[in-house]
Amino acid sequence: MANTPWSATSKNLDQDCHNWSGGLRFRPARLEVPEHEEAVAALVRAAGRQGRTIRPVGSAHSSSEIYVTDDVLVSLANICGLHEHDSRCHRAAVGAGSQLTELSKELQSAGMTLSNFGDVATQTVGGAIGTGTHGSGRNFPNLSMMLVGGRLVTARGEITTFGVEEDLDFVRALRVSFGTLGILTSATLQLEPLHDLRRQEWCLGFEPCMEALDRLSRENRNFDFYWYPRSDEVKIRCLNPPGEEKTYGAFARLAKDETGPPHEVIPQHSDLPYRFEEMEYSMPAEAGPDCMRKLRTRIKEKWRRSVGWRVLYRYIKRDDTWLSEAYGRDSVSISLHQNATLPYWDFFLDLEPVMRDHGGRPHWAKKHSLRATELKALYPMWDRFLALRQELDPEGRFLTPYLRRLLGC
Amino acid sequence: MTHAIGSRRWAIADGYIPSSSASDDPALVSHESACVLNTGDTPAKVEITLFFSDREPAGPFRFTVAARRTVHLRFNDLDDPEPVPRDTPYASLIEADTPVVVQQTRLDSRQPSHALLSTIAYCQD
Amino acid sequence: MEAIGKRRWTIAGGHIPLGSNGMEPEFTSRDEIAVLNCSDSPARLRIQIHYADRPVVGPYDVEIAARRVRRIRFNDLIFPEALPLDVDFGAVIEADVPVVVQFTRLDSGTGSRSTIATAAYAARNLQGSR
Repeated sequence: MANTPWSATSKNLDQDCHNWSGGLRFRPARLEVPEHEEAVAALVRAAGRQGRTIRPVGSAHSSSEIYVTDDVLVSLANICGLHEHDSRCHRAAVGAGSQLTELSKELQSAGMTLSNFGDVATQTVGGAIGTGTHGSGRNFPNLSMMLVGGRLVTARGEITTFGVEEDLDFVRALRVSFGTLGILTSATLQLEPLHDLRRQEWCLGFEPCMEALDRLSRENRNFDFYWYPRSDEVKIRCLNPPGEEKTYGAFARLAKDETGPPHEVIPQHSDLPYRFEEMEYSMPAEAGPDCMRKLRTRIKEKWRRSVGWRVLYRYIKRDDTWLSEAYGRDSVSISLHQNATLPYWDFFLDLEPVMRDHGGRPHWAKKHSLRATELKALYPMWDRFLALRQELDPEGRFLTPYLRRLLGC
Repeated sequence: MTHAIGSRRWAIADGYIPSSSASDDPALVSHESACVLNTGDTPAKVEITLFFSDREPAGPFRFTVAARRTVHLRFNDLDDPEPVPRDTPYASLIEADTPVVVQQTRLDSRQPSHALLSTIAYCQD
Repeated sequence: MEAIGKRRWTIAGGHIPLGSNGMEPEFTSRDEIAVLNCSDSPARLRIQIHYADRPVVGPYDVEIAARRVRRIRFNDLIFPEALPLDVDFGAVIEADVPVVVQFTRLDSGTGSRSTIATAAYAARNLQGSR
């Protein structure tokens, strides 16, 4: 079986499953690891006959309970690999259980690459798409926008094919739906020709960064920054095609300089030896700077004592995906982190209102305290999504008590 | 005849000369010193090598401490072979051909409430 | 170049001050070690942090290149866990080549405290292994 961080010892579980950070522990009634999509469909049909629910799982990186279940859990780990590709239009059909780093190596041999990655690349394609995973860059929407077609297993256990040309509205709903509309088995992705990027990271003070922020975010292909609570320093992280770099030596100190293909140079923290918990909210881009200042003031005042982890500030281009954190608006996401072995909930809950006050939407796969009534107010397409979900899965085959509370159904 | 006290090899890991001072009074200018005491009957020939975080070491800086004398060497005043950069963390290795005692003192007067540090350097026994 | 120093060092009186005044990171209140590696090989350090009332946390792994000095702030260590500020701690530092460690505290907290305190290491008294 693929080397997943959450693996249980056998199908009849005698120990808990846990997510990557270790903060979520649960025991499904059964853990299935099918070898091909027909087997996935058969599992859904069997669940239907037995009145069971079934949840899909990718790399278990999520730290919210969207995949936690005490019923059937199905891992897509073996539904993986590059199946077909078209070098003319830079598209590829891949197994939804493909882990992003492994897939990227296969795509590299085919001369293609994903346009962007998050800060880690341990997710599977299905998980990254379904939860709204994103990197940073004013011109880069989240990873779900790569999805232009594919196949999924419906709540009735049938395999259907979909594509943006025929079913654009369905794809807009499906892109970020964390496995509630169906289990994605094959994903057709819009990619880019393979190319190198140069990453340069510079250290400077908080105020100089904020003064230059607009320029920095516009003149680099990808841009984000870390703010370090215990030194009040910032590290700006810039990615550009080699030859198009910008220089900031006049007011910052170069700390890192490396060049390589996107899958090696964009995700930087796939191999962290120590686990962390995270809260992230995405807000309209123009609200970002004020929110960051308020978070910084509060953290310096109250949380430096016990929190040493950096805060991450990123840009996401607007999209039309119904439940995307960037639906309808160019966005900024701000992420808080804490060591997984230290108390984190009080820290997150203390700062969550600041991010909500700036129009923030929580990341579906990270820690937050919102439920259906609060979430509905944040997403114009909420009711349409729920109606579609009800139509596709009237018996709640893909739901758990957590998801019912989250979605209000 | 007095037997020399001390050691032939000393190190100061935390060296730093701030470039600014809150006052113009020469006594209050930010500075760092190594005070080298030779209690023996023969002169001590001393060599200092400076280490940095991101470049090769600098030196040797050479001077002599006469028998039964002490020298308060200001790092600010060193310039042969090169001056000590200001506002830059550095370290020093101090080697003598006869045992000496080394004490480090730093006056950091960047802020009006200035700070004084003084400690015996690390010695190789 | 011949190495100078020891392979094992301890700090008994660590306590990172909570408040800071003035520009950061220059005047961030901190406990800090300056580590000098005079040898021609890189030094790998492992730090273990001891508390009054909970188990040891570590190892924190740090490298110092050959013929270099490096400063490490205890505030900035986050793997495996961030140290809490304003809490007593002790540190045991083990290196694979002899190094010289000097400990410093900068306290830029409120009031007229703006002190820099330093102590050369107690390891000389520890008779550490070579």
